[in-house]
Amino acid sequence: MDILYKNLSEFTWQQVVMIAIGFLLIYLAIAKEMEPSLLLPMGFGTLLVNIPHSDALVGPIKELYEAGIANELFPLLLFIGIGAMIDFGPLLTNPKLMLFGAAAQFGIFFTLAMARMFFPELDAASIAIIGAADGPTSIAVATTLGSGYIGAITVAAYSYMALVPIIQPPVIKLLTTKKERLIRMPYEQKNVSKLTRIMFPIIITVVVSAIVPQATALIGFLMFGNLIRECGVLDSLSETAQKVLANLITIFLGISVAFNMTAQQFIKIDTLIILGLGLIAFVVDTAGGVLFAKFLNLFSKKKINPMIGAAGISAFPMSGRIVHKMGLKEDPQNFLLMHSIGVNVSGQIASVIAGGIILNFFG
Amino acid sequence: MSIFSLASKITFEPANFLSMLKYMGLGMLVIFIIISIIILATVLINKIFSPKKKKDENQ
Repeated sequence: MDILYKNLSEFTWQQVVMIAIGFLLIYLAIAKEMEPSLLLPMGFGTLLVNIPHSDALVGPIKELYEAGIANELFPLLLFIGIGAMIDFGPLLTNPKLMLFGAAAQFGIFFTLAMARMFFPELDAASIAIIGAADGPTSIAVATTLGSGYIGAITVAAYSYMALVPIIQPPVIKLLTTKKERLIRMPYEQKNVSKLTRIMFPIIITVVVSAIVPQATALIGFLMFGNLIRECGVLDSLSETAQKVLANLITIFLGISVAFNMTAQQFIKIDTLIILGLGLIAFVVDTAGGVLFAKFLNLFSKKKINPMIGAAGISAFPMSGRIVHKMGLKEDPQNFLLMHSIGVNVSGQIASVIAGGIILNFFG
Repeated sequence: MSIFSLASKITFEPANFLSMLKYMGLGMLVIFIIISIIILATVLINKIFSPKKKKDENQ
């Protein structure tokens, strides 16, 4: 009868806590629909790796981790899918919107300084990149820098991305007046040629890679996905990248990230601090975008609704939609969607560049 | 696992915040420079590859 309770008696309280966290992630994924495609595999993986003597930890999950995360392959493959999903049309119509994407990366560098007060340099840099509001970039940078906190960083990055509808509105309201939130921005529809759409991902790749070679893989895979979408002769591949490839990689990514969610690695005060720093990163990112828009309004004749600056946080497309909804709430005739989505996709590009810069500084 | 081993790497050194300010400034500067180059490149490709307007044949 020993067999019935021998393994049960070896559970530590930390493993029990981790299993509760696994249940929580599964609950949030299913009941609250918070990034379910990632939190559910992560939650289930957390259960698998926290059973005493689990053969999943030393077997398939370890192998998947080594094959896909330790060498950054999964985040990069996921970027092909994300690139294929993004329509850069609104950005190409009004390229100046990209400035907001740059401004909204301030949270990364502010959090870098904050995190450095608690953590060694490489870990601080890995934690700061939670502010990219972009899971694959966070995982890729943290892996390259060899951080031992990939589990906590991934949980923070994806959880806060899911919580963007709760985090961003109060920050935006705090930093803007009602008059500013009512500013209308008429959208001028311009035709963007097919050739422009094809050239854009190629030129972005060349420019960014030439200046920050550490970002070549990240930006290259993202733009490769977009080129498949825009070239017009690979519709089937584009669809596969957007759906099958992205879904498949997300499953493997989620479950193999759980390799770092063992009790020994996760139940630490460090984890709570990382979650706190991640929240700071998202808040400061949002503030950075909004305040930059307000700054531009000091000199600009055509006033910008400062709320659109918040969409530069990446977290595509949620952040863009939230800004649009906030605009409609203030004035049902104020349609900010095309502007906010333009800023949002620029945030995606800027966050990858920021990841490359962090790798350049500390890699 | 003692409570101390749970927080083995944690130290609190506020002075490190100041030592990171140069990265903060440099990082933001580099991002704005790269984004500005991308904006210029985008404006350029928009101009070069913009759809040509068909001329009115009656004129």
